[in-house]
Amino acid sequence: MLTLLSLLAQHGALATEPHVIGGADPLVAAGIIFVVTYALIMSERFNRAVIAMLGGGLMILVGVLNQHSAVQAIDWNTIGLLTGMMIIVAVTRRSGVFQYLAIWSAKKVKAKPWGILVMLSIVTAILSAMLDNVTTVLLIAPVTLLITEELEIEPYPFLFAEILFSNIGGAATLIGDPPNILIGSMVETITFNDFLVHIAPITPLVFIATLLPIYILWGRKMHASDEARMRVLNFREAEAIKDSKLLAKSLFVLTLVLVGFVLGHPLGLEPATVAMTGAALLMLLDNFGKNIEEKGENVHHTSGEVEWVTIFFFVGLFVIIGGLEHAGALEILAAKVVGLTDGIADSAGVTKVLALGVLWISAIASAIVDNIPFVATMIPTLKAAFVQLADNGVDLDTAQQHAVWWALSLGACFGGNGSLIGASANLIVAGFAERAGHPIKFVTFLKTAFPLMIMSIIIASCYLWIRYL
Amino acid sequence: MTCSTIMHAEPITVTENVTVGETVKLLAEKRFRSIPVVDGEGKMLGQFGVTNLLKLAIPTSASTKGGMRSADFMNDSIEDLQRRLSDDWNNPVCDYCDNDTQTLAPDDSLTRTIMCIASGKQDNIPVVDPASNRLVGIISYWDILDNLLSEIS
Repeated sequence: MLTLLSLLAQHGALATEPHVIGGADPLVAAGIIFVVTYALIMSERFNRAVIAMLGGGLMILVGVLNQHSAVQAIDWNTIGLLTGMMIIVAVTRRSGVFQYLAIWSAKKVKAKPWGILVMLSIVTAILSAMLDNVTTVLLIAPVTLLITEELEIEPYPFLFAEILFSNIGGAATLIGDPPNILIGSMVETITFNDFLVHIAPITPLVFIATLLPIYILWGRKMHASDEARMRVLNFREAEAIKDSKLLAKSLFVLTLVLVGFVLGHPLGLEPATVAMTGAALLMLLDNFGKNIEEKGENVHHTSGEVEWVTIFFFVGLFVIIGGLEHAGALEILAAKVVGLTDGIADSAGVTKVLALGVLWISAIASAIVDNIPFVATMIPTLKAAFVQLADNGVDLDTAQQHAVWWALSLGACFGGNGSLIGASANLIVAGFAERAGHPIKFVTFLKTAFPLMIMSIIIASCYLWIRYL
Repeated sequence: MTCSTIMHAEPITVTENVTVGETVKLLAEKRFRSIPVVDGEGKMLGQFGVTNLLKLAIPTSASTKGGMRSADFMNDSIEDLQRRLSDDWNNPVCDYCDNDTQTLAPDDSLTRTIMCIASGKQDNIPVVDPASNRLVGIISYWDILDNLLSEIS
């Protein structure tokens, strides 16, 4: 024990160069920690946040990183943006506005099943673009099940569509999906508006292309009796609004935050600043008129609704990747990426290979494994690859680099639709459906979702090719 | 004093294949809030009570964990409740009973018995023989009150 402590003291707090216990190669140590933690995360036998934190802790304990560099490796913009948005959503959902939206949209189409599916898909896609996907499906799936129960129709096509459209809608903005949050935060030259200009336009295309097969498979055969439709038409959506004052406050802050995201970059405001300030403002407004005890309890309750497990997962992940970077492992990974472009001397050709390669690899990878750790590793790897390419005389300009980042975003976001374990939102819907007695089978989902995901990636390839390559 | 001295031996039960409808009629007739469900050999399977029934009368989406926290926008009539119940009415009750019911053993102390009832989670605590898992009795707050009053008088 004492030896361990003295070794820990040796590679102490101020050392910046990796100094691994026992003189082992930092590259090997970091590599082992990375592979083991990622394997454990993929196995889904342990909580991913606990494993990521343990992996991060090990990177420091064995001496790949010291605490100072570990803290520097954490992307606080991602953490702040996630936390801020989670707080805003936690307060807003108490107003009942999301249920209201779902019921209102179902009634707008006279409670006809296919109309409801389309409307709920649009609501899911739009909410997923503005909030995170998990929150969106957490709010929409229960009300969807309620509507299908009252219509006495099978809920599966509805839940299937919502899974797909939450991932498609989430791709549209910087805040919509964790891969985009990571790209928007970690790539300095990409702003909130860049996502709106470059990624958002493709999502309606993919939305329509995905909706068509859903119509052919299920939509055209859907039928609900007039009596069942009347039940849904009798819903009084206004009653779903629990607190209209809170709703006004939430919408006010949400609008400010969205405007802040759009106008923030030229003013030098990062998304985390906007989201966290918005969260604080909403909590302030939410507590207006309450006594000090109620205020304390309310803030405590709101903080409890933040998904700290996800936040800690990100923190652990950043430290693990920081360790890899510090040990030089990402340089090696980057060299492999650069190797893909061997023999191509012009930057346009390299961009083509890189963008399409990254798109397809990230789509397939995201269908199989969690796309968050994948993207978090790919970002510093690609950054290093750009530097290595420049050293080799192939200098990708900002627009060309961006094309590769868009490929990563589209691949990771759409790829999440490839299987039931491809994205967190998929698992949330599957878990809820199972508890409610409508289990979604892995293979059944895969058979329809995987081809649809491939179709979306083909559309993305064409989009990238026409617009950037 | 142990649980077995104050428990109600040979309680009324339903067997696993009795339907939900028959069980509900029995609950209403006896004015019970819940009833133990046992298999053919008298082994404890769980309890079915009024709350289980009421959960079947509301949409699944509202009775499922992580589901709707409120459904004030719905305007149900008795017919709506009956419609939802009709799906389950003729199914075996064992598909719907709580199988995580807290039970007591005949040898459990009176203190443990009272603490169990005082926790308020269940109105009735089935008493189960730990070796055979057979239901041997049931205990409710009435049994405690009856014993208390008889001791005082």
